[in-house]
Amino acid sequence: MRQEVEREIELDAEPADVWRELTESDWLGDDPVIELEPGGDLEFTDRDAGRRSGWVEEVEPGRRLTVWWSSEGEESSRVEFEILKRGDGSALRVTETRPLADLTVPTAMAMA
Amino acid sequence: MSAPADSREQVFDALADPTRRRMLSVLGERETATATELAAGLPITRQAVAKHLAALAGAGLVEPTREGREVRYRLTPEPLSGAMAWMATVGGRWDTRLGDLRKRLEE
Repeated sequence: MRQEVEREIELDAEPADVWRELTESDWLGDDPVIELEPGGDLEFTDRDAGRRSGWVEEVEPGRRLTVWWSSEGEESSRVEFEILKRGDGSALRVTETRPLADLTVPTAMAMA
Repeated sequence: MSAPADSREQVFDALADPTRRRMLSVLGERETATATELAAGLPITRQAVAKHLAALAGAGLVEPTREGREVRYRLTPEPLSGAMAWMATVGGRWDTRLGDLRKRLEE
């Protein structure tokens, strides 16, 4: 089973405001660090799961942000944020996958 | 992993709520707890805790046992294995985060 979680939310806000909230606020967690360039650092304290750290894969300002993160003892997640214009507002689509966890499945089967 | 779709749905629904996730993590740290004990560590009433426990029991995530005059709950994480556990937990986290984002942007 491919491990993927996708959510989309429509927001009564301009795409630029959604982008700002995503990249400049503490929405995702406390004490955020995000360097908006490929390979840049990413860190924040998740209210559910403690400190998470990772890196930025891709930035398309105002439109798309792809990051990788993990917390201690956890397989890395790849998280893609996509902001779309929707009427007078916007939509934010979030897709979280665990590409590395999916990779281990065929390996384990090959070894069995 | 081959749980029937509707029971999977129940597990996802049960985990969509941050209070219920918190209750599971408390139950994970101790053998058993009563609704009153769980309510002591949460900002909600005992009645609300009882309702959440019913949802968790319905999804097969906790099991009630009667001990004398009290009912104690124990974590039964069997429905939560592998990929499904991850999707349920992560999906619940995004529901919470996106609800929070809406509040931040629209209020």
